[in-house]
Amino acid sequence: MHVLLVGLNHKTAPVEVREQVAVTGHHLPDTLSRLAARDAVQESVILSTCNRTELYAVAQNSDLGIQTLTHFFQDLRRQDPAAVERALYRQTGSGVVRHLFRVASGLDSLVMGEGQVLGQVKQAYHIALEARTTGPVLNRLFPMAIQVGKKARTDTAITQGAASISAAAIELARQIFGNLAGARVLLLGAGEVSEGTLKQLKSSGVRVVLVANRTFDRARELAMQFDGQAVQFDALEETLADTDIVLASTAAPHAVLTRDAVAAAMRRRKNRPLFLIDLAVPRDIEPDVDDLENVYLYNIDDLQGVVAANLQERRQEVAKVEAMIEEHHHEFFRYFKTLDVVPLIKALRDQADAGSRTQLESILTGAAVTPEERGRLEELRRRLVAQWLHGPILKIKELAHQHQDDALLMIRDMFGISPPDGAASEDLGGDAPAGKEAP
Amino acid sequence: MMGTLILWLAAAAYGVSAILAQRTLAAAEGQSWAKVTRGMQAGFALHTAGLVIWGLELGRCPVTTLTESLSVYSWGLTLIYLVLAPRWRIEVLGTFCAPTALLLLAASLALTTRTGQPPAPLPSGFISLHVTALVLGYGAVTLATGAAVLYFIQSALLKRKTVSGLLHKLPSLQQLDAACYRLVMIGFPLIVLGLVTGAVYAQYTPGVAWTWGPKEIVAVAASLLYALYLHARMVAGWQGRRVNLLLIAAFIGLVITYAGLGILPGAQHRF
Repeated sequence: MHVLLVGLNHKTAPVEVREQVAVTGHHLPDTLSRLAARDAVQESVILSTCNRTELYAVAQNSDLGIQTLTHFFQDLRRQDPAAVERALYRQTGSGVVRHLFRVASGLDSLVMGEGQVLGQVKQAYHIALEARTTGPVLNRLFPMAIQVGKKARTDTAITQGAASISAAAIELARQIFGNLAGARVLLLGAGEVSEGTLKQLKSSGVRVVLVANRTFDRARELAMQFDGQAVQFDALEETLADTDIVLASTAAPHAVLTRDAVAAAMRRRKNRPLFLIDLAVPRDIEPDVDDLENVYLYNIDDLQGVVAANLQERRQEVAKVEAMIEEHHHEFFRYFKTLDVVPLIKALRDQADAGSRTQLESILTGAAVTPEERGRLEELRRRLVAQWLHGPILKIKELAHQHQDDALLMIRDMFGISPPDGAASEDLGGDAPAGKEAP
Repeated sequence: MMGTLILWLAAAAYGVSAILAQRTLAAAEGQSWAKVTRGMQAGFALHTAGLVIWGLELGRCPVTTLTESLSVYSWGLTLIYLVLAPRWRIEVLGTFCAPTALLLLAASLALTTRTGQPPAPLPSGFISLHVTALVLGYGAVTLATGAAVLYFIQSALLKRKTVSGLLHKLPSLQQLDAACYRLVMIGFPLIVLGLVTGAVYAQYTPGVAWTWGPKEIVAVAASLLYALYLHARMVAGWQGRRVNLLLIAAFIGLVITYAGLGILPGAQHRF
């Protein structure tokens, strides 16, 4: 029994290749069923996001399993199978477990420590669970991965600190104002990043939005979009007196807010703190505005600096997360090993049952026994078999736990039970049989 | 004395809280301040018990000697912290409050072992009100000063655009500012009450006169300075670093005045 992984991600394939094999949620159950229908595959889960598509499976035969998964990838889309083939990585055993744990913790993501991927892993697992394509191995592996992902979030700082300019702006706003519910925001000009930041501010509780634009009609348009109010561009100084946060991104070639204007506004607002976010290039706000008391001016470089510092801190947490992953990796393999002997134990029981039944039938042929007596003899047979095997079965489980593969092999030999293909005695920390390892 | 022993245990509890507070500040994010608060609560319970036992042993309210008033000041500071900090989510002030409480209590205990017998007892009641008001009042403005210091640190970090982990652990600028303001709103009237009750007591008690000793000067100066702060905030509506600088300057001034004048002879204030 082997755990297998074949997949590609943002590190190995550009978006044109990734989109060929992406499986949208809608089609996921069908695709899963198709994969599960392949003979070589005993269990399967498909993880498909905008940054990766990975097939996780359990198979008796490692080589055959990898082959099946690879072919399945090529069947997903026929546009450019060569490019897909080049981008695929393959893992078996330990590699799969480590990889999945890293993915769930956000270590394999485009933005280190991002939180979305954990939800995606959860969803992929639940869909597979409902489609009944999982079994004892993946039913332990995936919940464990989800647990590791959660622990990484709560026990380390891997997800802490804003990783985008908008998030950094929100974080800073919170550091200044605390609760954002009472804050008033002014949007100066328009632009993707400033509008995105405004959206996030609104979902963080900001209720009052003012919009100023050189063209009043454009201001009204934006105001409607954000459930706010349009204000005259010329009345900036007065408006500033009443605003707490300013998002500036006009296309003006010169500064729109001068130091004098801001100073005057501050006098009017009795020096209450003012947070200015200048996303424009060339800058909309005179840089020496920052010298003013209780004014906090951040331009686009400053915000990127904040993001970079945060990502740096996240990277320092990686070692902690890796240690966590190792610990859970061992835990998983302890469990995996016990699973492996399930077929052996079953084979032993079957053998004992079959043999003892044959003997019982043979001895009762032609004998004058009542059904009641027959029933009693059958019960005796069962009890004898159970009692006889009880000790050995416990011992087998213990040996599996202790990785005593030679002893297990000897037991198989002793009872004449042939190992299945890809036996338990093989090294479970296998390297990929062919193709690349996961990056 | 049994009381002294319990007070040493209280000091130990404050010490542990102080260490925990520094650790929580330095640790990874998401660490709760609950342990620090519990340590302070334990210390406070022991402190209260110790003071009560002291009072019973002495036969009076233990607020009249220098050593006693230091201890009670520490007690008042802790009380205000425990009541207000969790409510206003400024438990981070524990990093400042716990060591201060420890220092004051330890100083008080160290002095006890040296000076020995306290002077003749003063009648309780009015005096207790006088001292309690001042102790709680000073406790509140001490915490306000702590909050003002944190405000400065926070403001400097934001201005310098160095976003370190420390930034995330501090409460927001507005929260700190509001805490300063509210604490002075609580402390100022208490200090004035303490002044007034002291003056009334001196007026109506034969054999006791109002003298301009260090404690009186400090109390009057404090009242004026904090009144000035409140005026700047409330009436003129001023916010920002200058106003909170006033808080810190006022506090430092008061401490220096008290320590400095206390050295001079001629202080009539009993204790």
